[in-house]
Amino acid sequence: MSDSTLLQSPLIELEKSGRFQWVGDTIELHQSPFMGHIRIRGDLSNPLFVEKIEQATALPLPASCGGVSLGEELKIIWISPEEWLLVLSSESRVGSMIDRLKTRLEGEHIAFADTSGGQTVIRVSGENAISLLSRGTTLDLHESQFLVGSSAQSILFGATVLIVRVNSNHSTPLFELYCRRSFADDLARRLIDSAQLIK
Amino acid sequence: MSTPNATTSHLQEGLTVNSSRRLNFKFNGRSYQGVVGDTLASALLANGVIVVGRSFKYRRRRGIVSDGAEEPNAIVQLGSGATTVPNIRATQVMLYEGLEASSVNKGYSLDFDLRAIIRLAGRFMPPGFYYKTFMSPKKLWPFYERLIRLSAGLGEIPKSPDPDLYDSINAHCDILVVGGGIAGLSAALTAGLAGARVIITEQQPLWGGALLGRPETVVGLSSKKWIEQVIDRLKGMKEVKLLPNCCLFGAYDHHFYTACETRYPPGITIPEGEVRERVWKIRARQVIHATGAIERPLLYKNNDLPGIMLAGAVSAYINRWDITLSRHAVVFTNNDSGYRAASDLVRSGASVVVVDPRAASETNRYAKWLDQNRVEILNQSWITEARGTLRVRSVIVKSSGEGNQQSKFTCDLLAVSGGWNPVLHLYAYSGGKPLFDEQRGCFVPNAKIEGQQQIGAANGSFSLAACLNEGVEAGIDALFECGYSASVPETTEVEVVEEQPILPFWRLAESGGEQFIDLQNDTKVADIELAVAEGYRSIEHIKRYTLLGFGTDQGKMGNIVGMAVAAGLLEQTIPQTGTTTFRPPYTPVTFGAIAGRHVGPLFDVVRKTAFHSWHCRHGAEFEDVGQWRRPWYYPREGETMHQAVNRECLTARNQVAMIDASTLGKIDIQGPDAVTFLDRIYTNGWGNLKPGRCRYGLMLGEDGMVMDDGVTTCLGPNHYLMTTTTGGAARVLGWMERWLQTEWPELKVYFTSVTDHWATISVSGPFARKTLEQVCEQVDLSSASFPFLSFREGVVAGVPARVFRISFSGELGFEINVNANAAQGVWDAIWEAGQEYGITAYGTEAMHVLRAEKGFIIVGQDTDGSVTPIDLGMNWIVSKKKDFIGRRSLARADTKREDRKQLVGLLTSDPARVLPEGAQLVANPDEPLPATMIGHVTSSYWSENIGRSIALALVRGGHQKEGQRIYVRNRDGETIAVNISSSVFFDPEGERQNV
Repeated sequence: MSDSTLLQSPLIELEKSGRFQWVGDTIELHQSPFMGHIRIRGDLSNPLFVEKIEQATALPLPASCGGVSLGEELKIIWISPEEWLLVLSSESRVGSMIDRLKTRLEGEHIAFADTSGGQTVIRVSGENAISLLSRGTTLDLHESQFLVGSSAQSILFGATVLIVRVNSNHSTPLFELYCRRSFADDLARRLIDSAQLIK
Repeated sequence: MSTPNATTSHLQEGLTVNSSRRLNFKFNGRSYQGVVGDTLASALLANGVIVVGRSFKYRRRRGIVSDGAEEPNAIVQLGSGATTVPNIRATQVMLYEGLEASSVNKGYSLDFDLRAIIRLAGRFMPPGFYYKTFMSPKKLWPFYERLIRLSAGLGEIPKSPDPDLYDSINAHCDILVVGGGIAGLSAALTAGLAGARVIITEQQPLWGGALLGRPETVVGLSSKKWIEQVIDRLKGMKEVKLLPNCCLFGAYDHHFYTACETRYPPGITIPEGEVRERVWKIRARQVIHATGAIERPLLYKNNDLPGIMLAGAVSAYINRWDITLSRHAVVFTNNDSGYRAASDLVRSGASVVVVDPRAASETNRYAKWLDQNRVEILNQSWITEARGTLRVRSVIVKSSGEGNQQSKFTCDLLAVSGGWNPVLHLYAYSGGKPLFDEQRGCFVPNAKIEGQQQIGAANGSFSLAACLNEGVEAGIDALFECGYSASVPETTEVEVVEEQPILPFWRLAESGGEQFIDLQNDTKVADIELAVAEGYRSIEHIKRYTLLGFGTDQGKMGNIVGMAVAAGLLEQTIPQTGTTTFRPPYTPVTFGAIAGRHVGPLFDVVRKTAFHSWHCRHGAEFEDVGQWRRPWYYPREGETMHQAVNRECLTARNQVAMIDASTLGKIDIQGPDAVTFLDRIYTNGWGNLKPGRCRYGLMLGEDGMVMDDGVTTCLGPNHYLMTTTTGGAARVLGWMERWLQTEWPELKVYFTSVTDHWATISVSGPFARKTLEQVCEQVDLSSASFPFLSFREGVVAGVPARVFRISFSGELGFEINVNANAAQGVWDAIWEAGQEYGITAYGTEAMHVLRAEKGFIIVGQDTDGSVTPIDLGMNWIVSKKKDFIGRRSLARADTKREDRKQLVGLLTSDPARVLPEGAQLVANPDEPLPATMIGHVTSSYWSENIGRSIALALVRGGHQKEGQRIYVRNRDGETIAVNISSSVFFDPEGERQNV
């Protein structure tokens, strides 16, 4: 895709001046659109797979449930025993990353799928972030249970969402919600609706 | 706590009684004044309002009997218009300025009620009255029913939508404490001090439970001071959440509890944006039930007269609300709590007589005090009758002493205590079977339920010292289970008062007349007698026959008494008789609270495609397909739906048209065993599908029935893209993963859902190629190099694209998949390019018509889970050379039957007539009803392209019946003649899609 291509995020109906955000006293919502999202499938018992992925991304491949590896420009999130989400800072970097991975793992049983157009990220922060999310998910997001740098997939306000806890500041927790494009507009509307109930 | 926002400060203000701050309110249209801190019930009592309603069945006058959730009589309708609520207990609603309430059962007025006169005439409405009375003549039933409905129900529901906001939230904790009385507070404090995550709920707006109505000294402090101190300490703990005004109403498996927090009382107008009620869905590791106990009434003639109240409630109205209830009171009690009410009555200036069936006890300290205060105590005595018309005026007392004497006492209040029932609802909801304790005369918790403790009055431990101590012990136990180390907060020294044991008794054999067990449903002792006489043995059946415990109060006051009476009549013990089943909710919960924010536009999840805004701007009417919102048709100005669909269909066949097909499921399949997998999951073979080619596939369940269909494309070596139906996407992926993970783990193949990544634009019609040629680069669209059912990668409108030559309309067609983020520009470019050919966008309705013209099925519309590919006439897609899921089932005798329902076309004799979908088909139009049905219409449309109606149907043995005439029989009796035809109505050779 050329750089001049017009891109539209799934939250276009809710954007103002090209951005989606909702800022309240104790809750903030911001979208991080157009990130690169690559689904990686592979077998942890294949040492070559682990080695090559870690070489190409310069990050350890999280091997345990909900693990997240954080890098400067990218992130690897454990999704299931043989599935990871590789997140890049920009969608434009996806093609070269997939090429690089494919070249290194030529002939191995692996799969890469670009899902950048199918996912977006909504960042939820503020002292009442947990209170807001608790209105839509049965997950226990308390800091003692949902550690910084961990993730979980669950239903949030009716949508399948991957939730990642990013920072450790108790007074202003920050979560990233990885959400399917088709659900994103509805999810954002429900987040705003519930955020307005929180005084 | 994870939910720091839920402050309740505005609710805490003005809860304690402040007699200098007056509040105006209306009850049954009359104006009164109460004070801040009143409940509606206390304000009515303070105003001397004795009668608050009529009884449900016999229309007897009734008064307030309690001060809590068990109240059976003071049920009121609060507020008016859209926010009115019909089943509020006056004992549980805090008074506010301008409150308007009315009795839900008051007849024409509380003083005059037509049905009360009917009662006098009829005198007696036994259980089963309606069945027994209105059974014949049968044809008069509709008339009877109308009459009966007039008198059924409590109160009125609002006639317009509820404008208020209701919230719901999930919460988690280590220890959930239910009940904010002394036992619960003591447990919460113990748990909170150790740093555990604690939630404590209390149904009242004020903390303290029974202590509010019966002040005591706790650890050297007044109970009020002690409560304040504990609450202050709990508020200072980061991990403790206090939820007052929050009634925990349900307990479910795995320590899941539901509670409803009342933020604003019913009927009050609330500020914009504020929440009226909030449902808490609480998941706890350990739960402590400190739910208290409910006092029991006693049985004697006319025990429902206004002015008869539970003794504990009498104490509460005197102590908490400072109301002078009586000048001449009688207390009827079989335990010491009646004595406490007697002393409260004495202190408030009443003259008191105590009637106690127990023998006098030297050691009863309460009796000593009462004696010193010149209270007459009649031991070994019973009340046999209460007298009065508008309210209780006197009681008849019988003493078993010398001479079996009978005496009459005048009074204006009768305070009653038959003992206390621990509130074991939550224990019972969790599967607990309470045990009857003869000594304490009540049901108590029996076998311990994992992770649960009952403490204080809920455990049958009624003394203050026991409540405090059990709170601490339960807190320590729960902490230990959660892995915390605990220390006892402080020594709890409370004076232990020896009480004289209760003498439980349920019913005096000689006491006749109307003795009410369940005041809300007017269930009397005589009703239980009749039920037993008519042969009912199980308490569950007796309950249903007599309506015992069926009211909105669920018999909190009377149920146990009723069971004991039944046990006596059945000559069984109470444990043998057992209790009826307790079911949530503990108190009624509004539909608003249950629905939460799932109302209006947020009713269900809405999935949108990348082109949604475009569809809206172009006037699309939408249809819900699963959770997707798909354009149904795009009416132009002045067009009806019919006209719009006709135009869209004609344009797709004669010019060019485009549809948003993004909702179809897309699964990326990679791995060396991909072909093997496809061969097993689909009925047809995939071994020879070359890169760049597409093929239609059909998927069956193990039962051989059609499950899903779609086109799968070979993108490259070991790499495929499967499409599924819109509604089947998630199910099919789960189905494939299930087979791979559980049955064929040796196959090397991975599936990834890419449905949302690709936006799909389908372009159909004779000018589809010419339209796309203007925007498509790097792809030769000519038929020679890009034949039907093939795939090319290229660039459309500057965006990398996958272009498929496939068609669901039977026309020359292309489907373009592009990254959804960049898709709108591509759609716009195609729209622009198609203008010179008169391009139109079409919706799902035209798509359905176009595919039906071609006889293409829609799984889920033309199939219903009982249809094989053979039934559909699709034998060609069922491979004979390989195995696949469902193959064995196709060889079953039943699936090979020749008279199975089979897919056919139907043509009406009158071409203008469009059949209703779902209509039933018969062979003989004259057969009397119920006629033998031979099939039904699955799809039916007007086809503007053909100029007549067309329909698809499943007909028994239909494949052998082409040309035969059968009939549709409509519900209104009309008969429509139809001829069975081929299911392909248009371009049977399929030439158009291959051009």
